[in-house]
Amino acid sequence: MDKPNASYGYWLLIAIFVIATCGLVYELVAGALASYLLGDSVRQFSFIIGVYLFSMGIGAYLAKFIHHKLLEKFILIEIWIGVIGGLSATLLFVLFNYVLYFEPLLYTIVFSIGCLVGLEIPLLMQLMQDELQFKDLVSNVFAVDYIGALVASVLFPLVLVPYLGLMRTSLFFGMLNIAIAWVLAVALRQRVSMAIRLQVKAILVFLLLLTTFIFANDILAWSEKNLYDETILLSKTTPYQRIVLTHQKNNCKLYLNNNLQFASADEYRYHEALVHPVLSLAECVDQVLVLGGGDGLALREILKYPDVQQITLVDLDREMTEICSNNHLLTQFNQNAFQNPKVKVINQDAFVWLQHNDSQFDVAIVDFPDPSNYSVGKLYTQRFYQSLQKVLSPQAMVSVQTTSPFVAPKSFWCIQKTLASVFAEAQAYHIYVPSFGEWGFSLATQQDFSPSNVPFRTVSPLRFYDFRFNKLCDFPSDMRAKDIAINRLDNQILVRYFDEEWNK
Amino acid sequence: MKNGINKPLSRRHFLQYGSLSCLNMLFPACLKKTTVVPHLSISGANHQIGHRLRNLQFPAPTQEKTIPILIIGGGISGLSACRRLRQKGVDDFLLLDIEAEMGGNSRAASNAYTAYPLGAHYLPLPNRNDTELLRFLEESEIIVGYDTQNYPIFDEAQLTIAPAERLFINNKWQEGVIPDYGLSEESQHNIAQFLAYMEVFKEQKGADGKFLFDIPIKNSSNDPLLRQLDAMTMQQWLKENGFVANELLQYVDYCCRDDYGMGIAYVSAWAGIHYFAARKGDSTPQKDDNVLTWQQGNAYLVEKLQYYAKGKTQLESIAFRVTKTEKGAKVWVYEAKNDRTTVYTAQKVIVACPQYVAQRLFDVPLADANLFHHAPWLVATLTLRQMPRGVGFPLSWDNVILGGKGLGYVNDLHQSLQQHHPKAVITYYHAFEGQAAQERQKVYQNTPEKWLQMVVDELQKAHYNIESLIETAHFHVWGHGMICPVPNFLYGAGQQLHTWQPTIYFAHSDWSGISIFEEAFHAGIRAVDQLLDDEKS
Repeated sequence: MDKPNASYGYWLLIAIFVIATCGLVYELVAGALASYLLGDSVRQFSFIIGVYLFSMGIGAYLAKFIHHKLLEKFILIEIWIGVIGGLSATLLFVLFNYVLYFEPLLYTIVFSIGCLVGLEIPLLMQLMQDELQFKDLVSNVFAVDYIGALVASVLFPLVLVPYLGLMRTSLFFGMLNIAIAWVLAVALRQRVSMAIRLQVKAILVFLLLLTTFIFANDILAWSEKNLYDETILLSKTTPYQRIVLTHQKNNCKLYLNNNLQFASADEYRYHEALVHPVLSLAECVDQVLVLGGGDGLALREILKYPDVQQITLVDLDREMTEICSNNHLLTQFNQNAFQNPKVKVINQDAFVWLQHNDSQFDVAIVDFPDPSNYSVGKLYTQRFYQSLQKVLSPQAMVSVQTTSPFVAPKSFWCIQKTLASVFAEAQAYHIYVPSFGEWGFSLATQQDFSPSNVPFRTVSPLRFYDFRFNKLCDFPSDMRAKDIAINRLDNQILVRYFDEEWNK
Repeated sequence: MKNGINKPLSRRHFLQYGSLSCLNMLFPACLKKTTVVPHLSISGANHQIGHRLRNLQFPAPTQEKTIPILIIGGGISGLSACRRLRQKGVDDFLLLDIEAEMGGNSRAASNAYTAYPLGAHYLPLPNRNDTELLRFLEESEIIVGYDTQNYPIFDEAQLTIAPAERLFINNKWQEGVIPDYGLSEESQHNIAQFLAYMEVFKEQKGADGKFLFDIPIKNSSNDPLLRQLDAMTMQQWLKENGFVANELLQYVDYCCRDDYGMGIAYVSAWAGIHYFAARKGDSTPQKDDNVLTWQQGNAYLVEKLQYYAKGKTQLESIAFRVTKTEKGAKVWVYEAKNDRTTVYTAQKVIVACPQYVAQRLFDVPLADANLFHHAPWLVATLTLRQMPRGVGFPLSWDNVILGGKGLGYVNDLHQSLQQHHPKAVITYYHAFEGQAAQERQKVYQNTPEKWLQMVVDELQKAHYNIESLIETAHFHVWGHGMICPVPNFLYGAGQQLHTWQPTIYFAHSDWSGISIFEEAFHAGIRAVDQLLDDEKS
């Protein structure tokens, strides 16, 4: 009886070594994958390890309820671990783009693997208790288990990830796990009932994993394509905002605090509409003031006018204007506008700057974030426009971005009405920008003004604006609003309209 | 720029931000308790010099001076008197103040980020019939013009910027300070009824054709109803009239503590109703109940008034004795800067210091001192690493916690037009009701550490992590914060004071029983007008 017993124990210890290695690999794969997909690796690893160990505890506890056919169940568990662990990376990669709640999926998988791995050691110890003294049993089992862990953790970053990648690593160890199950089922067939059945099962799932392994690169490429729906090219958090630049096919998008600032595919529509009406219809364009607009795209359009002598851009965020004057991609979009000697950048709060400025501008272009909170709302008040007016020459003209007249007609007409309460003339107009939808602006001046005025100057070529201003001034009835109040500091009614309309 | 109609958040971003914020919730900020010990400082009214007044420990006079008009006290009433004198072409006067700065309760301080009030911090829109105050606001460019219907146009940036007020009630911030969120129908009805009652009082006039409640109080009616209301506490009046909803009582109590330093159990019903009915809200066509406010609080108005006192003031000077002579008065003044006493011979003296100081100046009692109750106040200004987030309505200018012991806090940066501030600065107000003298002893003995604990305990009700955000705290302690209109004051102490015309004139809001800017402003004007009238006759 000695011999078979010795080989039985021997086989089981080999099994422990392999499954210990596999178990740690699944854990590392899950941690690495979560860091990769979700970011913040310290947090992800920490949580994955925690959940994994916890679920191993649960598994270990559950092991005491398994009494009969221990070996068969052990082999079956190995097969299951192989399948779930082996396919875990593939599943997570593929499903990342299709499930709304990724974390529950991630932790369910981690929990299942942990639970099954937790079952292993207690089961094995039960299986081997007749073969070995208790102290030998515990020592041997844990020694082999920890050696396996070491092997896994050394191999994982040095060999497995660089050469196999996450998906193939997990598949490979899944196959290893299943192979062990098959070997056990074959080697210990006398002790196992329905050994053939187990062998067949093991072979079938092994083949499944092998197929996945072979096509892993294709699956990866396919899922990465979905994953990089928008590749993040740049992401920066300044004291004022979070700037994110993404890329997708031929379109780049800039987000400020998760709000789309521009999409390179159609921003020309927005910026042409913001800049050219005012620059063509203003009597004089020597001195141009830009408030906001730190992306430099409005500058690009303004610089098309040779008459412009100087452009003063006031933007709060120094890092924003620096990124937009230095980033290789962004300078392509704004055509290095910040390097132009006509451009002067002032990084200050626009409202505060206006209060302490006495220069005179002939054109002002106001391009602030939407009035989504009470802080930004101040930049759309009567008082703000009064302050603006103080730095304008008598014949000056102003253009202001005024949100969407379709989504937020009340907000749109509120800004328009507020402008009209300060300036002698204010003319609302709108265009269509695919990324934003219908978008509105307003022209304001102290001079007599008619939308059909003949431009003082035009430039070419433009892609969108054709200098026929009055055709942008027609508003269908679904873009109109009645009984709108003027936005003042002491009512900030615009923020209420905006909130009501955009959160509908 | 623009938000875009297409929701810009891709699923990947959503997952990223979503997951991070989920995980964030597992680690509430309270776990990362700051190890930075906040920097604490404390200030208060000039106690030492004030206490010397009690014991009269001053050096013997070493010089004599003459001045036609001497004004004692450089708070709002004293400064208002200066303004009136200047406007009437009288330039020969001297204004004395005990402190190193003019302004009394309306002084301010500042830190690296903003100026902030040490006391009074706003002025409600004046009643339209208060032409004197409207004129002053016009001089100060707070009123920038009048519209076609002759309504004053207030400077947009000096009105409270929206959102003005919020209330923490039932674990949520609601807009406005009148309780509403989560109230039962009965409570809501009770509150609506109360407010309707107050609207009636607002318009009600006595047999003499004057408003029952008006500002200044001197302008209000002599109707016997007022005498009745003056005889009972606000609490009694509320009970007798069926106002029982807990939230309503808490709200009215808050209002009384806010304006008078003591709650409904202490102030007279007359005063309690005055709070709601005296301000007509008729200076704008929309009947706005907005207020005028500045980052430095009413110190802004002090600045404007000081214009009229320029070159006519002497600080850190305490008048400690006034005696009437045949031709005028002699005033003993201790000048702390050069540690000497000067005796001024004045033809006229305007006493514009609070009652508890004024009563020590004269050899004879002015009025029954026991009738005057001054609640101690604490004004705490905290610099916070950032404003703690709250559930519900966003940060407003005035932030009140319903049922709190304090009066909530003001966002000191609210009136700033700037978009971003590196820190948040808030000023928390707390009035100590009860036996004023005992409370005062406690208040004087408190250490900054204990004050901090008290303020944190109070604010934690709405901001659980506020303690970890505090970087600096400045506590300003007012031993005698403001006069409290207890029952029988208006028709008692307030009427007792006889002026010693044509030499000595009293001009301080204490004598009116209500410590508000308007009362002080008018008290100064009234004293000067009487003085000049007496001179003519």
